[in-house]
Amino acid sequence: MINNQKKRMKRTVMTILAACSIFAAVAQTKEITILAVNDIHAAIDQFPKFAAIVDSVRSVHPDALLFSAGDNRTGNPFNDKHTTPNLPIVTLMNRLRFNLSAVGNHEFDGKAEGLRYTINESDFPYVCANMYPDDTLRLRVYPYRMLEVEGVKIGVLGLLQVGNAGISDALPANLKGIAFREPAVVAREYEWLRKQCDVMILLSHVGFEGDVQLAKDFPEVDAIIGGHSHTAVKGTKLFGKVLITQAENSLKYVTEIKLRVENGKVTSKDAHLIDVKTFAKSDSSVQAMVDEYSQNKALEQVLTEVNEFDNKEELGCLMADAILKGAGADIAVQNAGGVRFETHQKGDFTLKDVYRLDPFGNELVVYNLTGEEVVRMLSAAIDKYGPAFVSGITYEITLGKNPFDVKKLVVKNPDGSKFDLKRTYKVAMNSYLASVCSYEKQDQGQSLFVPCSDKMIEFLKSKPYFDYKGVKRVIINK
Amino acid sequence: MKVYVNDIEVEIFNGGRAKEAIQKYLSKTNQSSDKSDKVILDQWDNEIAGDSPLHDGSRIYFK
Repeated sequence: MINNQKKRMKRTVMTILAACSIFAAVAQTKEITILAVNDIHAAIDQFPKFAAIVDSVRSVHPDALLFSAGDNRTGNPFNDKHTTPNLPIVTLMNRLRFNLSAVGNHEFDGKAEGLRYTINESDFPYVCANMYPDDTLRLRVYPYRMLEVEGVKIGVLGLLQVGNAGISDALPANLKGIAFREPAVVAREYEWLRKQCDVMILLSHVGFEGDVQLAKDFPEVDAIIGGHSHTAVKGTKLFGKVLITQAENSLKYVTEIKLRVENGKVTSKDAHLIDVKTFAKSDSSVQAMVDEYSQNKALEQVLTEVNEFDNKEELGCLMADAILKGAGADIAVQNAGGVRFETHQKGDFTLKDVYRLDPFGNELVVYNLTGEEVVRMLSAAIDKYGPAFVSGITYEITLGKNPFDVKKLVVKNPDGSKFDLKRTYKVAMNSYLASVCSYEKQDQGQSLFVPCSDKMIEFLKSKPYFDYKGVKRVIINK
Repeated sequence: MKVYVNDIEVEIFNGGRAKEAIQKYLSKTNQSSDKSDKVILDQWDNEIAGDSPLHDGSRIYFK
């Protein structure tokens, strides 16, 4: 009898112990949900639906994390030219309760002051391990952050793209006082972080190809949430065991990432893109914020006063002069097709006029060209609207029956003196012309990573009055 | 910098984007520039945006 009681008790204890151990194993399994976007580029119009997606996921997973892989700004004048530049995107990201953002190369477009404002006003930290700003710039960027969700420690290391010149792809003047190192080299210096967390993530503004290399160099990482290359990574893509995600750009998509963590280790990884445009719901309060930002009077801002413009060449010369000044070039060229209106009345010239005149967002590109190469370039820069407009030179062109058939082209200095064909000139143009204009040259050219429209705004603000009436720098003989 | 579009080498300025490489490629292969229905893919078959930044040696496909 006593033996039977002892046996029953033993079985009961064993059952309880077994149940406890099963419970302990189950209790150590966690699912981490992360929503990730990248290269938002101030696409504020997408925020109402984006907010609804975030709310929808958080209603099921209240602890879901929200990350941006950088380049939150640049691409929408309602944000970039707001009376307080970048206020709309900062406010909207705060409203959605982002947890972290990487630093993208376009974060520097507002110079150090703009980035400082962005960081200080954001309710979430910016991470980047391979940028080293001078203390005097007061940029509070962290190399990494450790987050904790349901007891799971998540280390997130920020990384930024660095180009051949050893700096990130931004206007070099905007990077003054900031040093950079190669992201792959710096990432390896954080091996110790891997040991201190259950989940290690690289929040990378390096680009997909660079992320694939990082996955090879640093296979201990669980996931690379990427940006920069505007790549739509559909589905779960593993390189070795490293998950790499990216959600193209401009909030077309949000990546939803699921990481299953068992006993302190990630045991499964899944990712998929959520299409923002086709998402059925929209957040009305966020829509109200976007409507307000989109009605901002900033675009009505008067930049300068002008005499009337009577034709495309006068406006084209204005644009070429702005490119010349903006790039610090000897010669500037503006393709005729890129001048989007032909006349403008005497009086105010506003920010809106700049974006009507140059709506394409083309960036400034500079070349070192010999005088002979300049002549070849001008012969190739004709489009269906006619020969290109210039600054720093004048030229006379003789065309055949075919308007693209150049019979003769003579360039002169602005004072009418002879143009030196052997000298090397710094020549600036927009990125569209740089890509469509084919001619023999030695220099490959270099983007300055700044929109031509930004330089036109600076140029127009530099003087209280501009008069291009009667300006003619190209003589066309047919 | 040299990049590859549909495995054809094209030269674009440093810091150029996918759309600029496509323009060069179309010009080099004497094709019309009206290709709005086509997609741009990277070498892993991911779709990329026209304003995707490229670097020396990048390979993209225009289909």
